[in-house]
Amino acid sequence: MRCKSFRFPLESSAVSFATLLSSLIPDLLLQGSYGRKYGNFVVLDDIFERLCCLFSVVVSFQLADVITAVALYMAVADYNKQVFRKQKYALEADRYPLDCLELIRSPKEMYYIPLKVAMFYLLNPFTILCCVAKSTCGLNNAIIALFILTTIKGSVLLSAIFLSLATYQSIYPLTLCAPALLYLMQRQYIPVNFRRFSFWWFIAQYAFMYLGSLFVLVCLSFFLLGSWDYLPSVYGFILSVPDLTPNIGLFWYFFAEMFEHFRLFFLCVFQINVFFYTIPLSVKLKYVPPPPRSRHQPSRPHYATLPCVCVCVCVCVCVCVCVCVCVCVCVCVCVCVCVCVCVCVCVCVCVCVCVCVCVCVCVFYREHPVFLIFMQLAVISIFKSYPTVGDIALYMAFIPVWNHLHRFLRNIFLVSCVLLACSALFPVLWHLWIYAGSANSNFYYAITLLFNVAQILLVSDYFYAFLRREHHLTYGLYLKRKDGSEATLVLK
Amino acid sequence: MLRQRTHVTSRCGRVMDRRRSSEPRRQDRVTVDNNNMGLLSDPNRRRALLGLLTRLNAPICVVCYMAGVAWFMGLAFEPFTLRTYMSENAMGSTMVEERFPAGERALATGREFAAHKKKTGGMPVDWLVRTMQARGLEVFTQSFSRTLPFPDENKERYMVKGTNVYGILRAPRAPRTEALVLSAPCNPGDENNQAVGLLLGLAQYFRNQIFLAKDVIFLVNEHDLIGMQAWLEGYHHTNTTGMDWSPLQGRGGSIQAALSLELSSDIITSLDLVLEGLNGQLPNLDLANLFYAFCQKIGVLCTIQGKLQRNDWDSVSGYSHAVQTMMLMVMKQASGRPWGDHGLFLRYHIEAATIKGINSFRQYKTDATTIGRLLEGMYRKLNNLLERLHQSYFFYLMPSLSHFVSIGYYMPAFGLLAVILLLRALDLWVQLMTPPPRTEDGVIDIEQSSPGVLSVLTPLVISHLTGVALYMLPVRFQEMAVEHFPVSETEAVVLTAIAVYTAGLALPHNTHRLLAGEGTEQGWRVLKLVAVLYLAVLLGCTALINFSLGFILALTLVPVAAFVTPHVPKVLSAFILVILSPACTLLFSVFFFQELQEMPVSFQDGWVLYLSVISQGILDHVLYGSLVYPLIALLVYPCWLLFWNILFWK
Repeated sequence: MRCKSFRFPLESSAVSFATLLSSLIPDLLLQGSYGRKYGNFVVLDDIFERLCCLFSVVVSFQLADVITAVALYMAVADYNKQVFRKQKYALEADRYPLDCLELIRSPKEMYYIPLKVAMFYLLNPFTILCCVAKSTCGLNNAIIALFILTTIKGSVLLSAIFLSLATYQSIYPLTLCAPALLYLMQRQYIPVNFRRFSFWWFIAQYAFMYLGSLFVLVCLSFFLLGSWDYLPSVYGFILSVPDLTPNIGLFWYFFAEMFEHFRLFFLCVFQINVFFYTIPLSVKLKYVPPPPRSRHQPSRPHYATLPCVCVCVCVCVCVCVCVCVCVCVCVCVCVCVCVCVCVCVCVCVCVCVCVCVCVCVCVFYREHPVFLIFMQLAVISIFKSYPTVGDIALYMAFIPVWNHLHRFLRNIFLVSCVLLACSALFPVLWHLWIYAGSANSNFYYAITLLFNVAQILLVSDYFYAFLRREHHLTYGLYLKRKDGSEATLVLK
Repeated sequence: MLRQRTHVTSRCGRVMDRRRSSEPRRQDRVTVDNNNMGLLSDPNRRRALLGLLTRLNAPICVVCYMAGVAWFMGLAFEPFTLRTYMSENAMGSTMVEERFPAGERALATGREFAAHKKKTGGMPVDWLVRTMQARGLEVFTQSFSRTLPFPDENKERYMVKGTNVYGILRAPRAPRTEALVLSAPCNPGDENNQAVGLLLGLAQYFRNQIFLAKDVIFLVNEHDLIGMQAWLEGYHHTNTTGMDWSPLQGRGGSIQAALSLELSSDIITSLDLVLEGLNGQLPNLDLANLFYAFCQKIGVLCTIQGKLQRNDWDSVSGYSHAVQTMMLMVMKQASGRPWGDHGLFLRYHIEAATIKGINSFRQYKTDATTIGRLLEGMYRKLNNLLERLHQSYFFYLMPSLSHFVSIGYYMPAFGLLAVILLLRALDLWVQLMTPPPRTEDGVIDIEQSSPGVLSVLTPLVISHLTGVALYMLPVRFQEMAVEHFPVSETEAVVLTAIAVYTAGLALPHNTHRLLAGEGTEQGWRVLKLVAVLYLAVLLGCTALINFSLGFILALTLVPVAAFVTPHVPKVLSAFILVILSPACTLLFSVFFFQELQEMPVSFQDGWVLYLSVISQGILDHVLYGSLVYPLIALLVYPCWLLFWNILFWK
């Protein structure tokens, strides 16, 4: 797999600790692990050369992966306990319709989920590749996993500290603060209500802890380096995407092809993608409790959440299909590939932004912050500027947590086939392009595009399945029409 | 506004009738046309499509297979192909006047070379160095040695030691950052003397010309590809195959293009162009175009795959001639071997081809001066290049020298075969997903519904281990085999390979012994789903790197993958499976290749040829890093074993 960390400088084992530090301080080598050094970091590496020897034995990338797996294990175990408790209360309160008993999760099937999550992470070929490549992505994942663990355990301070660490490495985990806040508030029974003082007080507390630790980290690195140069060379590097080395993301080809004067505009469009999902969560949404319904006379179904899902899924699917077709045509005909692909991506990205807004404004995520974390991680790994396969491994580790959604997934076969095929085709096309010299970048980018489309489809499929299950839990599994005949849900 | 909103709600929350009864659907709401919906999200359409695909699965598969084969055969039909054209501007429009005069003198040099070769009993290094120096080149030598893993019986060599001699003609007109290579192999016996003579003649001629903007490297390599490998590795400072060679003392710029010359007679009737390189890689089509253009201009008969092109494409014989030419190219490409000394250049991004002089009984004769002029013209055009050849195609097939089929045209043929695998996979998926019928008390038989991971993993692991054995054992155990059996080393290697291959057929029994319980109905379906997807990805990747190999494998393996289940008649299917296995495919390919070359062989000779082809495949892998043998041993064969396993599922 071409994750760019493959060209990581492997001169000595001593490098690993330098990498650790330089990734804890600035996320340099994750973003620029091609051996290029920016600014002062050559010096930085030299300073830590000696420390390296000391710690390189202790700290290794395998350890980071193990930490991630253990953290995920504990987090998911705790989360499952809560889910189960909540379900029990709901059952006792008779809140579920009778025919939904099939959807109720049994402790037997939930028992192995944490183990599955850990195994999914550790045995995922993407994780292994990332570890072999000694990419700092593994460290990043470890910190995010610790953040998830501390959040789910309900420790506000640690959660804020780990979030700030993750943000400090690469900016994108910033968006995870919304689900963390929601989760912690839910746990402490603080209503999400703008008019309440307790709500604002909690946000202020969390923001103080988060910004405070971020401030400390930033200042520490300033004192260590003696200049602010690292800010542009780390965060500027992430945000303004100067390095167009091919990777599995969407940025490089597009920005390599683009006219220079559009660069800023498209930079904003591309980067906004990652952050847009979280905006509506800060918008006050009116909470509509499910209407009371009698069990024996099924009322006309309400579809409060469905419009947005419909729009989202429709548009996503259309865009994806359109992109797929374009890609196929491009690859086959090999004519005007660049133009086609650019147009496709452009359309795709713009539509995605709209969809995100629409989805986020409408959908009531508030009840399910952990699902939101999953979605956010996926979105980050798809739309970040220098994605690696390690990012994908992190969110894919969560897939066993949602195995109760499998009956509602619709395109899982197609999507997993595409993901599999793309993962195999990446190295092949990379070889053809770089080593054999017979194919060109268009071939590789076509697969990148397809891979990302498949990821989007996967995420939107899970999203749809989640909402559909919630819907069924409220309105019953077997929907009836007015006249009592059986009915199907149609998304239109 | 309000109305609109209700409209939207009704559109979203539309509830539709699921029953497939004859009564018309009652549509009490506004029907919204959903053109932009796509099949993926509309459950009714999905169901309809799925139903169609599962019901008509077998016929669709058969049609796809037929269509794929027909498409492929159609590729050779001239109206469906494109005429070749020069894409590279730098080589297109410039006029070149060729003035190479010294053909006779070159032949005399060749004779002198032959005499010295005979005297030294190998490569006359000193003479070559002196001669090249006399022609004003910077001359260097490189010695190399290599012990083959087992003796090569075709070329009768085991411990190879040799020397490459090369002379660099520095470009008078430009910074020396780029270079062109002209090489001629120094073969044992009486072969190729004229090529070396012509090479030296051209060196002398180029020395006095002022137009050169790129260095020209004149290389005489010993032990054909092994010497070439040593030289290229030395030139690029790489060592991929563990060969011993002395470092190069002099270098030119980065090599842009290379031609390898093979010429064994004073007068030839036609020139043959060889394009197929290592792992089926081809040079840029512009190189072939260049050769063709100059042959047309100078009036030399030119062939590809040894076949002249014909004008009667609309007649049956004309079409079959084109098919023959294309099939020869496909077979050569699929073998993954370098078919000339140029084959190893391609690995380093260097466009290269071999030009072979052929002397047959035709009336039309060409002398050495004309060939020299042709080469001069080609080098002058290559000299004009501003960047590497990249404008034209890298993926193509040639039914004749003036026509080609590009990747966009031949990929659908493969795609149609690959679709069969996807359809079968879809069918299996649907079968696996349909919930098993509930029993009276509503309890689902859990054992039926969830096949253990073990039952799928065991065959996968065991068949891959067999593959690893097939890959490792033949070379490792040759000594032991030679001790215990009355065979030579080469035979030992080949026969061990065949023995391991055959032993793999006993696999299902061993797998079942390891398995705890009985295999279930669902179990083989899951295994088959995995195997089919595996095969699809494998063939797809292979076809991208080496289309011919991928297509030939698809042609034989796809039917196997499509039809095999535990419920088909065992003996007949086992026979078909063996016939369509990779080893038998190779056997048929050997006979077919001989047929195509119009040199049919008896079964006995064919078998001997088959054995030597296997040993060559292993040697190519060890010596030059050809990927065909590991691909077959480590991936394709295990995949085929999975299907074998499914057939004997218990």
